Amino acid sequence: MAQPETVDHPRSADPKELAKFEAMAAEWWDPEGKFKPLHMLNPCRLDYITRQIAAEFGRSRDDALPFAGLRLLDIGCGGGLLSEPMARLGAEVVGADAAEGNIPVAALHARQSGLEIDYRHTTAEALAEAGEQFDVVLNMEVVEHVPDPAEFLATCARLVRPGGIMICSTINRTPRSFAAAIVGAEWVMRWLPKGTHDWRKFITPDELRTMIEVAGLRFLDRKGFVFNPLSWRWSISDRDLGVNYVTTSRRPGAAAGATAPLSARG
Amino acid sequence: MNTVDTDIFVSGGGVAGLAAAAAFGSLGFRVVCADPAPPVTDEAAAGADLRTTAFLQPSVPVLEAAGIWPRLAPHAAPLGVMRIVDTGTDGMTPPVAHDFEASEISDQPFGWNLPNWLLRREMLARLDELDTVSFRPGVAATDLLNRSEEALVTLSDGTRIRARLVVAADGRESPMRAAAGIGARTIRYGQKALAFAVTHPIPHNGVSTEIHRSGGPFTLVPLPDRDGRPASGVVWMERGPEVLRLAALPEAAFEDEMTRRSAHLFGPLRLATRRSVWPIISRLADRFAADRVALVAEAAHVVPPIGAQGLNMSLADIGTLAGLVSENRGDPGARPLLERYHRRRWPEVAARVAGIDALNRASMAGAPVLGRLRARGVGVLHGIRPIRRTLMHAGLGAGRTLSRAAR
Repeated sequence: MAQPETVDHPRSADPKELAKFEAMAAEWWDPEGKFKPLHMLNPCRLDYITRQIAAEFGRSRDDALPFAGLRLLDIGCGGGLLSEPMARLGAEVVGADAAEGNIPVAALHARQSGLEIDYRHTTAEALAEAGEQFDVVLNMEVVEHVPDPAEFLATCARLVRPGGIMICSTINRTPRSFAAAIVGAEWVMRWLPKGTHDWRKFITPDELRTMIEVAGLRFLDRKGFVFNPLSWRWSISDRDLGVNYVTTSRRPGAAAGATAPLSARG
Repeated sequence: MNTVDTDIFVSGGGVAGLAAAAAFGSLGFRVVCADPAPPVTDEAAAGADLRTTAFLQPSVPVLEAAGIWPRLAPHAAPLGVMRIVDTGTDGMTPPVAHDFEASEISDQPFGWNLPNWLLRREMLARLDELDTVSFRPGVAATDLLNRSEEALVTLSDGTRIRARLVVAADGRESPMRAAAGIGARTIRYGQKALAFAVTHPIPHNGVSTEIHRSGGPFTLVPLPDRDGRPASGVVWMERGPEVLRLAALPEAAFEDEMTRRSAHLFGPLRLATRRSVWPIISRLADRFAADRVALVAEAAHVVPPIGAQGLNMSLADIGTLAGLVSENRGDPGARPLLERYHRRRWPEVAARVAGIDALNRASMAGAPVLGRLRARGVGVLHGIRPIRRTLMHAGLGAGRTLSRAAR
C-alpha cells in the first residue's frame, strides 16, 4: 500500500487519519470485509439520500434517471459506495477523497461497472478554492474524522449552490455511541480496526446543527439511523438519534423551482 | 415546479379534514386542504355519504371555534334519549329496553344528529368564507417527505406544498400515515354495516335507539321529518355475507327484513335512500405524531359505529391539536407540541377503542349488551343515577372511557 503523499490542505486531511484509510482502501468493495458496517448501512443511507434529493428537486424516484441534470459531490467518497448509485440514478458525480489510495480503487470499480464518475484526489478546501459548486453535497461519515469540524462544514457550505442541499451524517457523542461504535464495532465485532474512531471527536446533533447554521445553511432535517441487532438491519427513526444520525440542510437563495406565494383562494 | 409555502397542510376533505381546515383557518393559520375526490354535497348523487353523524356535546365547542356550528344548528336533530334494546336471539323473548335521558346529566341534549353530505356542504361554505384556507378538491397528495423542520408534500397536479405541519385526515388507509412510517394495528370482525335512511309511522321523539341481537347492533338515529313522515338514519351491522345478501334484496323484501330486525318498534320501516355498505374494523395507529405530521380521525383510529364514538373522537383530536397550536403560534408543527398531542390523545383513544371493541364483540356474539354491562360491574345500572351518569358521561366523551365505565 502506497504511503499517503503530502497533502496541500492539512486542515481537513489529518495525515494519521489518511494513513488509516489508505491501509483499508482495497477492502472497500468487500461486503464481508472491513467496511461491512457501511455495506450494511448503505441501503438505509441510500433510501434517505434519494428521498431527500427527489423531494427537494421535484424528481420522481420511479423515473429511470431521476437525478439527471443534477451535479453532485460525494465528499470523502472512499471506494465509491455512494458515488456509484448516484451516477446510476443519472447524477453528474464528482467523488472526492483526501486519501490518494482510495481514488484508483474507486475509479477501477466504476470502470468495471460501466459508470462515468469524476474521481479526484482532492479536498473540500481545494474544491471550494476553485469555485466549484454542486446541487447536492454528500458529506457522509466524514465530519467525525476531520480536525476542525466547524471550519470543514463552512467549507462544504460554500460548495453548495444556492438552492442546493447538503446531506451530512455522523455519530452522536453518547454512552450508547461509545458502546456501539467503539466497543461493539471495533473491539468485539472487529468490523473496523481499533482506532478507526475517536469517541471524543463525535458530535451531538445540536452541535452539528449550530455548525451548519453558522456556516450559512438552513437546517431542514435530522433523523437517526438505528441498528436492530435482532433483525440485523438498519432503519430510519425520527426519535432515536443516539448513535448514527443524518441531517439535511439547504443553502438559501434561488430554489430549483420558482416559489409562488400562497394565493388566498386555490 | 410550483411551490406553495403554507403553515398547515390538511390531507383529506372528508368531514374531519374539512373541520380541521376550518378550525386552523379560523385561528388565522394559512391552510391548504386537498382531497382526491370532490366532495359530494347532494344527497341524491351517487357518491353521497348517506351515513349520519351524532355530534355529542363535547364536539360542539370545537365546531363553534371553527365557525361551523352556527351553520349546522338549524339542520340538527337533537338527541334527548339514548335507548338500548336487547332482543332475544330466539325471537321469542320480548325485547328489553333501557332509556338513558340527557336531562339527568345536563340541560342540553346528548348531541345533535346530521347527515354527512349536509355536513360537507355547510363546512365547504365555511371554508369559502375564510381567506386563510385554500381548498383543492380533486387533487391527491401523492408524496410526503416529513423533515424535522418542514414537510414537503407533492400534489397530483404537480404543485409542491412546503408546510410546517401536515394534518393527516386522509382516512383509514391514510397514505400520509404510511409515508410518515407510522404503523397501525387492525382488528377485523368479519362484519359489514349497511347505512341508509328510513321513514316510519311511529315518531322517534328525538330518541336514538340501538337494538342488539347476534350479528351486531341495528341503530336508528333521529333525522328531521321527510315528506311529512318521521325519519331516521340507520346503521345495520351484520356478518359480511349477510350484509351482502341484504344489500342485494329487492326493496320490499328488504323493508320486511329491517322492520322485523327493528323489533317493530317504529312500525313498518320504509327505505328512503340507497343502501351503502361499509366494512367494520377497529384500527389504532401506533403513534399519533411523527416529525411535522399529526394524525387525526380515521387516519389515527377506526372503531365500529357504536355509541357515536368515531367522529366525536375525531373532533376531540382536532380540538386538542387546535388548542396546542393556538398556544404555539410561532411554529404549529414543533416537536414538543406534537409530542404533547400524542400523549394527550393516544391513551384516551386507545381506551375507547378497547371499550368499543368489547361492546361490539358482545353484541356480535348475541350476548345481551345490557347484561354484559351489568356483569362488568354496572349490575345496579337500572335506576341508580350516579352509575347511569357515569355511563352516559362516558358516551359523551366527558373525560371517562367506555371501558372504565363498564368495568
